[in-house]
Amino acid sequence: MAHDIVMPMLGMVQDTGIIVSWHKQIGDAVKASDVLMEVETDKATVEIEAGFDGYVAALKAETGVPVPVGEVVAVITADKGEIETAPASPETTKAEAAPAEGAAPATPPVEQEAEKKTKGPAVASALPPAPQAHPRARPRSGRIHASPKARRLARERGVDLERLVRLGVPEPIHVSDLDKAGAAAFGMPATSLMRVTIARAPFEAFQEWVADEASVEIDGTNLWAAFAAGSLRAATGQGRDEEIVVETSRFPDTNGAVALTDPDCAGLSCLESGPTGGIAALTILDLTRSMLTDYRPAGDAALPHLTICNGQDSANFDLYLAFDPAILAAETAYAFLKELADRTQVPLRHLL
Amino acid sequence: MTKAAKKNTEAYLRMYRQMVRIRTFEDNANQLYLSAKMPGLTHLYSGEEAVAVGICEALEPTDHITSTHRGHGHCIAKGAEFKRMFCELLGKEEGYCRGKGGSMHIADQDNGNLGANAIVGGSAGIATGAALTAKRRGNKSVTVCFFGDGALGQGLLYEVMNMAALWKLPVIYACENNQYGEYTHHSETAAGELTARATAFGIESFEVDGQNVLDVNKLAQELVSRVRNGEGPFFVLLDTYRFHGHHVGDIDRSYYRSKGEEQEWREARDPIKILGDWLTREKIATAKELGAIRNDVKADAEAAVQYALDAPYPPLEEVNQHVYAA
Amino acid sequence: MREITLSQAVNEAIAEEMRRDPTVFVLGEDVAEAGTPFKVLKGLVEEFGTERIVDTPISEPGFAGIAVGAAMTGSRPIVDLMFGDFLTLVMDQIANQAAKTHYMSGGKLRVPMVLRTNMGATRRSAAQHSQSLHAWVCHIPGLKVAMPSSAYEAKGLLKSAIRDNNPVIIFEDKMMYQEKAPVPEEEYLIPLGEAAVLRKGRDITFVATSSMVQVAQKAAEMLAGDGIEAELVDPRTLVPLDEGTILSSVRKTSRAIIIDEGYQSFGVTGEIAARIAEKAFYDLDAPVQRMGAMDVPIPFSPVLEDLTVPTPESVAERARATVRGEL
Repeated sequence: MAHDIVMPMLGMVQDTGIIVSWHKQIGDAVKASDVLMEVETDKATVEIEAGFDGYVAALKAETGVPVPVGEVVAVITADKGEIETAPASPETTKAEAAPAEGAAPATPPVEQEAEKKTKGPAVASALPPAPQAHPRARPRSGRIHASPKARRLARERGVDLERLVRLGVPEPIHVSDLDKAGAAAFGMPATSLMRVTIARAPFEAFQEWVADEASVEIDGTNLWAAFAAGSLRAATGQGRDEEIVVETSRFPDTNGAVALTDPDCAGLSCLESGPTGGIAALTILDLTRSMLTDYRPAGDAALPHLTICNGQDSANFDLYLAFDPAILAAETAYAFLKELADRTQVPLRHLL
Repeated sequence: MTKAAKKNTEAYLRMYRQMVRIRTFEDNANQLYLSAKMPGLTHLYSGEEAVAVGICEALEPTDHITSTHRGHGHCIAKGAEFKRMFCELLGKEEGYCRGKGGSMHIADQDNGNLGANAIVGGSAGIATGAALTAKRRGNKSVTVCFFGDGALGQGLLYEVMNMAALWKLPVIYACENNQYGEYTHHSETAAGELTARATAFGIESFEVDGQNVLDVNKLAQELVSRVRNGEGPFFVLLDTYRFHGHHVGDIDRSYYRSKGEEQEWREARDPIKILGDWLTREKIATAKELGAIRNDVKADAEAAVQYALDAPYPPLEEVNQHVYAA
Repeated sequence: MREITLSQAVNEAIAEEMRRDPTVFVLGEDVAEAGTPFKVLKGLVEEFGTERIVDTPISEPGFAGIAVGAAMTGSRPIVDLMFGDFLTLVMDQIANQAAKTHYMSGGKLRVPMVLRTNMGATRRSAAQHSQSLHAWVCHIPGLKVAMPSSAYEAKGLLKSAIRDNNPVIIFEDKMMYQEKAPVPEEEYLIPLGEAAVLRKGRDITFVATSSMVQVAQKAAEMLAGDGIEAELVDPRTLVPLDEGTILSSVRKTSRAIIIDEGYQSFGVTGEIAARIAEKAFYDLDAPVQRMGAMDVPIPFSPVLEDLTVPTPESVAERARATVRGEL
């Protein structure tokens, strides 16, 4: 048999009371005349007796927090054995009015006796609760949450909302966030460009070696993707449990972008593209099958973007990396390119 | 023939014609339904003509009536004409309500018809309110509230009879007991005595054979005169019968009304035949004259039906007009 | 300017209109000598007599129906429905008869009647005498619905309602009958369908009805202390609704909270929120908020009853969360 102890109505004007201190702990034996808690009202601090013999099964309110009159603050059970069935830790009760989380404090799972006067159901929140707040991680689907007005203003100003999200602006994006994002909010491009030239022979030799050893033809672009993913992972310090998506396209042969997830982690013989929900960490345009030594298509390539071309010197590849320094620091970009160059020069390094 | 007798003859023939008009209208309405030319359903008054005509012939155009879902008879008896009525039943612009009320809400304000009502007993309040206006204005006009035996189940009726009695309103509550409320005999739905309900409020109540238009009219004249004199309200119970089903689709109805009973009423208690026979017996009119009236009305109705079938629907913009009065 | 109570304002409106137009009369329970239990009609029977201030039996459907018929035949009745909860009893006469007569008759018959009733909880009158059911009549085409928020609106709206040729339902908040407001001595009318902007602000719009206007005012004052400026729009009539004023305000502030004492679900707050979402979507920087009465039968116990309606504190809190982008 359990009894709910509620915040008592102590004054004419009072809606809430504050528990100044608990005089008993959970598990303590208690007599009806023992003081269970001290409650502060708008007039005075009052000692409240337990009212029942038994054991303190639960303390459901924190000290120092206003608790609405009538709300259950403690449970006393007749039987020591029933303490296990009651929640052990005090739950934070909320003051009157709509809490942001919107949930009413849960009633204790112990049975409630109908005839107890002091029993009351936990008081529901004051009004229909406010809707849930929306702290969101970056969406995997690529859909960005922004208010209609923010979306409209972003469109009018030429602001890329995705870029804002990458910059760390939390969703949902509001109008005030557009102002916070600074220059980025006005759609001004901020692209840095790095270039490196590397010998092509080791890369091609590696491709042939794998074909011989594993009897598998590896697509060159996929191999670049594998090396690039591994290099990026090393340069940014991301672990193998963090997903890196590389989106590759080639020219000619524009069948569309192909997304590879963690191409550095699977075996080289099983590099497969697949559907991915994630935003690409890197996009690659492979021009090596063409005559081109450089090609920057119009339009917004997602950054960072790596273009791989046949070098002006036929013994080399030329690699161009375009990136947003606000998202990828220049040092990291350099580290990436260096790692990538090293791996293509000594491919076995990649396999280790 | 004396002047008085002549006047009476005119009145009798007018009553005959009005009843024939109602019967003919309903026959045509029935055909329109059966030949799938009429939208929705309608509720036919055939067999009850003497009630509407007997009472309405005692009223002026400035007197008011309220009607029921079975309201064509009251509408015609109060002075409505065929073309506009058929147009209303077909939802045409020229209908009495511009096609927006239909059979169950047909109203003819110029002739004092405040409208048919699809809510059983729903117009009892309206009728009583019209009587209240008449009393406040002191204009001596009378309101007749038509309702059926089914409406005796509606609380509203008793509330307004109570107030009408308290305030001595110029209203006549005319209960057309056609024996059945929809598909149920009144003995199963109305406990106790039907007229006792009104007399309980101190309202003088009368019972009359609803198939005899002269009896109905005589009583109506008397009561209307007394009402104008401030002696209202009154309650009249008229025994009558509807020849058709509850509505035009109620064709297979032997489960609640025996064919024998229907046949008996049609043959022996048809109000038009009853008056016709009396007129010929009393040598006030010949069978030929009566036949001529019937043919005349028949032609009239047919022309009106064709007119209505050809008439235009309301323009589509009409759909959201008249929601509010200016 | 002189200040009078809402009760006095209603009384004046009726008296003035009855002097002006002999077809206007009042009917309802205890309207004559008693002047209604709320004493709003006190003194009228002495001036106008029992022919025009008519006591009825306890027959709500009956006298509402009588009012419809009287209105259809040239009178202008004012029905006094003692508690808004009794709307249930008069619904056939109001929704099926009064509302539809003009339309069903193709524009021929008119029903120029007024039904005055009340709304508003926190009077400890329990579930059947505390409801705010105005949403029900807003839902029926053919009716007009007015919601005065102070003595000033009460007088102006009631006079317009009496002169209107349609059935108009007016809801007075029963908790406000003794509250005073400045009311001009000279005659004035407030047209039906015109909202009022009672407070200008740039951060959030409160659309509030009836006594919730005062709640919203207090919330706005609290928020000003936090640097949040709320704009307050009082629609004054719900049917017809002055959408334009509401939408202009929301376009300016980009945030809105609708506060109404009807039940939260399927009511006035939902309707106005939907219109804002439809027509000002691209100007919204936060989801439109609704604050109505809790969806529970109104409890008797005062501590419970007071939880069921919006308060200045709860409105202010919701406003802060909205402005901060937390919702």
